[in-house]
Amino acid sequence: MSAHSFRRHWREALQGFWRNGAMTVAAASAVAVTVLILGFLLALVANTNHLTTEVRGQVTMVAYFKDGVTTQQISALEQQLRSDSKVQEVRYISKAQALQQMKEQLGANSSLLAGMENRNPLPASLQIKPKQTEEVAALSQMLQENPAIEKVNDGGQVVPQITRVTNIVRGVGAALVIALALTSAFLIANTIRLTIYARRHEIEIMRLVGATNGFIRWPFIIQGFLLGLCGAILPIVVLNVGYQYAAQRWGSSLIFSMVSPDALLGPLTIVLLLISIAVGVGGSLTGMRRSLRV
Amino acid sequence: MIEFADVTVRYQTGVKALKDISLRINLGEFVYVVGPSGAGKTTLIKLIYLEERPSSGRVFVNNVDVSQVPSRRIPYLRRNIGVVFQDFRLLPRLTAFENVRFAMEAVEAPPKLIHRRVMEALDQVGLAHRADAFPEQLSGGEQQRVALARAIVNRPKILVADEPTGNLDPETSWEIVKLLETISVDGTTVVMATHDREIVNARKKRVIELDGGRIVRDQQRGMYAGVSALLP
Repeated sequence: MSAHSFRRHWREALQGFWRNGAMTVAAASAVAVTVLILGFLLALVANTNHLTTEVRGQVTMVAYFKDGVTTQQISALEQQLRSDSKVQEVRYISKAQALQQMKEQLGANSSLLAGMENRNPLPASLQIKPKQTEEVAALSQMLQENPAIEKVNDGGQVVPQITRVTNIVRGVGAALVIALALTSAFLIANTIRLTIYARRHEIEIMRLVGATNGFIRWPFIIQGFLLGLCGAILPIVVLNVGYQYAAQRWGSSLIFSMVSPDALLGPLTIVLLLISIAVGVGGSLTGMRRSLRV
Repeated sequence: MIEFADVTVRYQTGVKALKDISLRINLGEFVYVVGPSGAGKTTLIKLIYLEERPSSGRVFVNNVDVSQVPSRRIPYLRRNIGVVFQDFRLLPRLTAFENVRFAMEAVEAPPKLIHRRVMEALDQVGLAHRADAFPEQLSGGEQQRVALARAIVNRPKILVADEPTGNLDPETSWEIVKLLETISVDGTTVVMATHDREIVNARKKRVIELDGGRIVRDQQRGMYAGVSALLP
């Protein structure tokens, strides 16, 4: 394509906007709403994923020993767990240590435990960090079968719950975003169709004098591209500013940490731009397919 | 060169617009196509500028068998064919100059060539002084001359005109026909469909008469109506 034709296609595409102002605004707004919601959902999913990984890293099982087990029994089980490939870390907490921990947790109220040193009701335990959360169930089963073990607290219930919530967010979000993207593409297709209608005489003359299909189509493709791009800019700015603000305000005060803006916003912006441009060009191609007989 | 070999055009409605047409038009020839409304004149013209394809038979335009040619090549073949219509089909927002330039831009002609060629074409139809006028500021005859300049600016080998004088008064019609003849003298093949009895009779060119989709007469130095029609 010559530089001259290139400039001409862009000029024609921009003219197409001025001539269909209302439709252009409608289509670009639809893209904006789609991008805003998609961006919000992506940020949400990124953060729930982040949370899941964080929680997974923290899952710790506790196996409490029966009263009166021998040190041999304890060290035998400890050895067995250390050599188990499913286990990352094992720590033994003696009865005395358990009492000490509880005292620390109670702080000022630790006097409640005064005199308990001699008849310590707390059991000795093993704290076990599994390598994978998925292995919690198997380990728990194995420990419960051990005669020295009174009770197992597998602490793994949180993860499936978070995963379930994340999956629902993803499912609903994906459906919403797909519906919105289709609406945007449809509106863009309509804008293109209106422009084609407004230019039908020019297009007819172009065809008669031997303009190629590509030459006739380029301005409309550019128009779709620009509609997608223009629609994306405002929500992307809003998302960037909004997320920076949220991270600054709540990032450290929540029980879990947010994904840092630096890590999230760059990729998010690129993904949103690419998607909105794809919607724009896709809508434009659909609009042409129906009404541009070439 | 235009050649039709046993050409039939059947529309989707089942109506046959042309039936077994065979003809040959040589380079630089000037041909009138006459006949009543619905005789198939427009379909014949459309076959030449590749707007229509034959249902059967073969059409050669500039030595290319256009009945076989793939769609994507058609734009390039059209660049050798100029077209003029009864309703001018100028773009109202563009000046005369811009209307003619539009045809060169659409085929991505070198920008350096455009200005000179557009002015030459406008000069050829005698409208160089009206280059900056918009269509609504021009008379019907002037508008048709701009359309003519647009049709020839890419220097086609063939010029087809579908009732180019249909909307014009007799005097203006003469001007257009004389211009078409000048263009044909320069070596361009001109095919003009017309209802205009006076023009055909006065110019004594080749006449192809259609009726009901068939050629009923093909005569050098012909009249609008054949001899048979003149007899009582």
